[in-house]
Amino acid sequence: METTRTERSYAREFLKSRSGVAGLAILIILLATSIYVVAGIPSSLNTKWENSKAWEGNPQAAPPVWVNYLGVDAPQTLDVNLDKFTGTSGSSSAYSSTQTFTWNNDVPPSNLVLTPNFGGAAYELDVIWTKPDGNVVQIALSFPTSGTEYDIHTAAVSQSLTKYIQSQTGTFVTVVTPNGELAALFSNDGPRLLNNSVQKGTYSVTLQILGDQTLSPSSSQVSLVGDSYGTMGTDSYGRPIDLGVLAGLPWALELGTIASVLSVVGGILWGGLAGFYGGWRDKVMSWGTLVILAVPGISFIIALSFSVQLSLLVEALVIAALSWPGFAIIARTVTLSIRSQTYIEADRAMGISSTRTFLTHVLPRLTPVTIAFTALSVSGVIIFAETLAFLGIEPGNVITWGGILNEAITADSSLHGWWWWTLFPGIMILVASLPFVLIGFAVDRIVAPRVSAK
Amino acid sequence: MGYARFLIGKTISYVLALFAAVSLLYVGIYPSLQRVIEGSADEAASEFQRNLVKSHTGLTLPQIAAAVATFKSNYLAAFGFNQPYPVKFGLQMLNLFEFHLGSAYNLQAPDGSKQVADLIIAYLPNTVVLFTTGTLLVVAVGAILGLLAAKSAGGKFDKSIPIIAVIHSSIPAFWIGFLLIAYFAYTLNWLPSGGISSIDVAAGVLPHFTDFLWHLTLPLLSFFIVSVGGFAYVVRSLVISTMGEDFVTTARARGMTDRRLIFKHVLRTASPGIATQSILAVAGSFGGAITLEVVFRWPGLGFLTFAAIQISDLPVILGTTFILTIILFLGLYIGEIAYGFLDPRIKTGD
Amino acid sequence: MTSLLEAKGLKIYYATPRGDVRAAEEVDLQVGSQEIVGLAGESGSGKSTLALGMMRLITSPGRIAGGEVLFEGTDILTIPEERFRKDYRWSKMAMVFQGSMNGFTPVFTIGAQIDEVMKIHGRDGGELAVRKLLQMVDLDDSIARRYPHELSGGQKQRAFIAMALALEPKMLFADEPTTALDVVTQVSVINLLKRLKNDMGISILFITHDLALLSEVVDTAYIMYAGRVVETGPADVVFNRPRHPYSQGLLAATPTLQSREIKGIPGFMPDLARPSDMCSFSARCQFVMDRCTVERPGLKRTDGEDVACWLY
Ligand SMILES: Nc1ncnc2c1ncn2[C@@H]1O[C@H](COP(=O)(O)OP(=O)(O)OP(=O)(O)O)[C@@H](O)[C@H]1O
Ligand SMILES: [Mg+2]
Repeated sequence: METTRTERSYAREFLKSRSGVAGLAILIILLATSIYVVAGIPSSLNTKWENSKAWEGNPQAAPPVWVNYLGVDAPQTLDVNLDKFTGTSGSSSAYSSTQTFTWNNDVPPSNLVLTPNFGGAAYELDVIWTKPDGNVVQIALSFPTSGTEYDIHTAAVSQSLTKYIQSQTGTFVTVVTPNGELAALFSNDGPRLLNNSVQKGTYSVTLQILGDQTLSPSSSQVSLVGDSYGTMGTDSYGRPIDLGVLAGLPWALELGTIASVLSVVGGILWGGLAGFYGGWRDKVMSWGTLVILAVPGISFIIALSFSVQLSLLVEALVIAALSWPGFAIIARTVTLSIRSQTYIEADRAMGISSTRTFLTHVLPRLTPVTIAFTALSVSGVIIFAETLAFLGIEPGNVITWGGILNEAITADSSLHGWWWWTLFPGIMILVASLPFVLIGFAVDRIVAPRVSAK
Repeated sequence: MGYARFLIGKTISYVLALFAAVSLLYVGIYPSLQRVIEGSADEAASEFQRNLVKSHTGLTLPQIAAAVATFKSNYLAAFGFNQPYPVKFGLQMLNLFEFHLGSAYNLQAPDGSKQVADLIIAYLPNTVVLFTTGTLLVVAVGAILGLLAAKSAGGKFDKSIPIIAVIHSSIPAFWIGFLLIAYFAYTLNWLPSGGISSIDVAAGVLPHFTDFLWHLTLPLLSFFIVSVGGFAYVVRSLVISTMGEDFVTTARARGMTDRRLIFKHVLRTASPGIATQSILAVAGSFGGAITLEVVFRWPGLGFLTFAAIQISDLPVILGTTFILTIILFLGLYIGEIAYGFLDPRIKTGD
Repeated sequence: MTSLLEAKGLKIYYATPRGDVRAAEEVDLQVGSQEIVGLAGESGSGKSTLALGMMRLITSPGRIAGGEVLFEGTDILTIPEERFRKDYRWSKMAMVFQGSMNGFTPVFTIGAQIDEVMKIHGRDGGELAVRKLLQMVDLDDSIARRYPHELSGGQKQRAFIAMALALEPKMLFADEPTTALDVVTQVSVINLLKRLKNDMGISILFITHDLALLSEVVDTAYIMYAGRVVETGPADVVFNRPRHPYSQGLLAATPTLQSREIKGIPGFMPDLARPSDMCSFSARCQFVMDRCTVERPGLKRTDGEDVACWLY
């Protein structure tokens, strides 16, 4: 007593499947996140991402902030803002601003970035750095430019610091690593200077600007660049992984959906018609399926990308054009078994046109399978596209997880132990494709009940 | 005989399909291909010029220039340049199938040759080794896992198979590679992080072979991990649906042991379907296998392709694409033949 | 007459989302040695289920929910599976299944499968033995080398009967062995069954819709309705003077040479997943009384046969 099942009962059964519902929930979260990304992250990020200069203020190849909870001492970036300037103006003007901060880490920061802001031309800028024990280090810059970022690699800065190290240790150091210079700013004084012993406590920074005309100093910054950043760390250019991971989401979902809908619908129609027609048309159409099946998708797109400019739509079209054969093969098998059933014979006997029979009897029976395939295929397309991106094939001007992973392997991230750089984009690929797989499997189990023996 | 007819028919249809697939490829790469041929012509012409000058033929400079120009136009004519499209298409396809793949822009084979064909010959065996051992392993182990799961349908083990399949379907192969490297190579230091051989291997065949296996382990394991779950799931589904057929009840009534029933009757009946699914699995895991070579710096065609992408070495990319098409095609063809062999309906020519 | 096979209070249920489908409920059935017993009833009344249950072949979602099956006095439902497989399956009890055309494994030849069943039970088997079996069912020797799909439906069915006889079982279940056969072949199968009984001393449980056919061969008849036996007795009694209104209706629905007019039984069989206390036939019965809708009649001995009806 086979009862025909309605869409309603399918839906009810789907909601009973725990994995299916979990997939649906993840999918909703992903969609919400996508909307947030599209609305909240400016599209200029894509260009900024490729500009390595734009990320110099961030720590490079830094682990996520939360590693501090795992017993790793990786200071976060600390910005010391200097905005209240006092001083005299006129033909010999001098302004200064002082700010204190507390440093309680065992290690110094990984860099120091100074961004002074003042209207007009100054001839000298001094940073007077007072350590908790009262010792003073002075950094002097001649003819500074307002708004420029000076960091530990700036010649004048490192010269001042080398001079200081020399005065304390009595030895002349020709090459000092940035770490050494930073250590000088944070360590004990005297001969023990380079022992990496950091003074904990309250520091004070004074910014002094000297000029021969009136200046208008405004909010300036001394940024102590940390050794950890954000929720997912940074890559070797200082780009935050979490930002990249978020920015890659809408692209993956959009591409996955477009390509899989196209390929599944195309494949189902192709295979369904082949099985339905039978005879020579079936032979020709099945052969056509084989032709596309024999094209190695990844290589083909790689080769194609040298002749055709890829964009999201082009890539989706090409992926769809190459990935339908699997669906066609299965749809054909299903149709063959439907065709052998009597009502189709009956239609034929009654002279009902075959197109109509296909639309009324065959296609509806293929619909549930189509839904299962589409869901499964989205994950397939996402993985496929990220794999391509990993190989270096992606539309210009997009941030992809595969692209981030490509840079990770080029930078030997595993060798350096920068696990966060590969872990999070990979997990994101998993998270983005998982809901579709879950939904697909759940639907598949409902529409093919024989498969799931209880 | 039925099977012979099946073989001939399938072979013809597959050869035609290969031809069609390569034609498609040809259309897709047409502009790049022309550039590559011209580049190769220039390369060959300057080689020719160097030889002329070196061999002191006593020719004057204008004579040499004329000879070089003729050489180049002959070279291009062999590829159908300045000819109508159909002729050009025919000649260039002919050259493709004769493996005249031109010379690389920058990449070199280990013996120094810049011929794309030589590069491919140098890298191809490693891909074949990795890919065939991987596929065989996946098909064998996946079939056993799927059978065991189907046998205990509803049990704990059976329930874990779909879960594994779900996870596998959502993870890209290369990322599994990353994780395995991080764990086995950098954390445990058990296995090499990549490459195909160590520098300091003792002389002799055996040390080299074990060293090779040692390097093969991680890429193979990655390939296995990404592919086996999905395949086991497919086998399980096929076996379970076969177990629902009438002949299984009658076979049990006949007093067969479960083992005989499942491993002989059910498996044998489901095997044509398993062969078809293997075909699809091979086609599906192909791309993943290529990226694994990149992650493990395994010197195969995938790795070569990656290197070529990095420096836009177009001739190499076109060459590897062509060869990979042929390899994939061979995999499909073997699967089809196996299918015909396993299904008596085809063997007896029904 | 001591019985070879006996079902006592056998209950077989199929678990479905709507609840248990009670396909056999409290069934008592006996097959004496060298006896042909007929089992009739409309489609879905539980005939095949009963036979499969007695062969211990019910698998999930079905289960045996109660009762016992005695074979030569031993309860075969309680002996360990491995012993049952070795000592009983096919060697003592074999079955020609409903739709035996799909009973052969599609990828092995007929001969190989008949040979296999002999080998796994420790017999010699071999080409000669297979040929002898095929001859018994009027099949050509060459059939042995063919695959199932190369045979016609009738050939497959006869080949399956040959396989069922391979171990000379004492008990043969024949579940509609003649469907899909033309009339001539039907007759030859019926004659074969008679021969098996007379020459080899095999007992047969013969299941069919076709009461005319049944009356030709059987010694005892059982009529089943909605999972229960509603009438049983010697064949001549049941077929000539059926008492249960359902049996009467069933007989009237069978075309005979005498009357060409066929009368069906109006209405449908009740849902087996919804057990009730009334007589399951009451909704379709033309003699229905008040009592029928409140209390179920049990089998009662009257005039040399058993009937479950309040009329008697
Ligand atoms: N696997 C199953 N799951 C659920 N219900 C089942 C199953 N198999 C049989 N049934 C139900 O059990 C009842 C008895 O079925 P059975 O096959 O024994 O009938 P039958 O008398 O042999 O009918 P037929 O004459 O058509 O062969 C039917 O109502 C059927 O729907
Ligand atoms: Mg039946």
